[in-house]
Amino acid sequence: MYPTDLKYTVTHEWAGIEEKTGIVTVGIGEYAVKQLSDIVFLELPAVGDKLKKGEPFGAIESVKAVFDLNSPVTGEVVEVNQALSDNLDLLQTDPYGQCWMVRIKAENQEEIQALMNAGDYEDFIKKGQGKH
Amino acid sequence: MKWRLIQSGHLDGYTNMAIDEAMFALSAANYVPATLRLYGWSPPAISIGYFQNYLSPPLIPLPPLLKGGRGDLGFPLIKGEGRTKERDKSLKLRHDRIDIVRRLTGGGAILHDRELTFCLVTAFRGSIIPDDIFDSYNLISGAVIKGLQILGIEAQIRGDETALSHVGSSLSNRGSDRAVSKQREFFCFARQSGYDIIFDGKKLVGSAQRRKDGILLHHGSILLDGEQNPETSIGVNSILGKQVDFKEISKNIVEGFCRTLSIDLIPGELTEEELELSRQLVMTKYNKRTMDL
Repeated sequence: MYPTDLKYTVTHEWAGIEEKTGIVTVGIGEYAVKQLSDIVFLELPAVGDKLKKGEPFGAIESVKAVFDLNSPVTGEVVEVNQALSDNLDLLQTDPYGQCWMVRIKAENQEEIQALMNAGDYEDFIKKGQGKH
Repeated sequence: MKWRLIQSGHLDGYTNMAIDEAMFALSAANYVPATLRLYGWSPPAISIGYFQNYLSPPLIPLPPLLKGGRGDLGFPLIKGEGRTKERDKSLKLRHDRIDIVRRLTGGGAILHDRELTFCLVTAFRGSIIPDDIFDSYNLISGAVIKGLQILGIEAQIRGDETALSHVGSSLSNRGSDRAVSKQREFFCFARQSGYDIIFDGKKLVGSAQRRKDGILLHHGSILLDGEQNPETSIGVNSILGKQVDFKEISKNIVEGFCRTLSIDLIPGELTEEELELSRQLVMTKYNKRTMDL
């Protein structure tokens, strides 16, 4: 159900790593998008911002709730998907592809390995253990 | 189950928002219990949603303030349509004289004058508050509706998801440098959504949530007077045809929460940690001289 080449956080961000460069691509998954429903605002960091694992890198607002977006790794933002802010509806149909949010140069790639794989994440969702 | 009840009385906008943020932050760290806080605003203030952009004041017309009450700030509102030098000057004066504060929660701006505000902070995992956003709204709104019912008002949830229309004036959020959005009415009580608590089709209670690390902060504004957006909103006093005492409505809302959530609300005080953090937040974040609006 969830892409097997990605890793997942308990707050429903996904992360894909390019091991050669240590660049981690981050977005939010299908489960979070369904929970949020009609997304109206998105706040993302700037290129060059320093992020810490587990701390907010942005925020997202649906019709009636604001959620933090949490970084899956410690590192520096090297790219931001500004086009996504102009087309938030895309999140409903393609949360894993065009809807990546930030790319982060990870300081420690092992942080990614500590995240859940697709199977573990699916079990996690079934048990209703998410934190968003 | 016992929850803490904090009744703060009327405080300024910076302090109100700083206390709510302190409760939220310390609740996430498990330092404070589930809490319902009730409060008013003095002097009147405008809170803007977390993502709203506060542009040059003349572009954001204020709703007409109440004459003769605390909301009458002593300078004229130039009536009429369109922008004129006099009207811009009037609006600028009004903005210079009223506190503006950014909420942690989303949604539209609110002029807080004659209203009862509540802030509920609790975990939503493993608690009586459902994880699902709509379900959590239903439960919390049900508690407010029960409280209003005890007061003699038969309010209801609008419930029509197709009602996300943009009614009323030409007010709108004209984009933002903080974020990009779909356009919506600037003021909360000019907006409609299926989550609204309404009476006779008009919005009586506006609400919004913030969620972080399994903790929920739910803000609600119960209008006592609804004249700030007369076409789209209504207040308790208008419905009942009398001035309802702040303490009386507070008592009924508390009763509504106790009955609906099956909890005991035990009157309590803010902890030293909450007070200290809220003081720091006023100084470093919410004070308008340092706050990045």
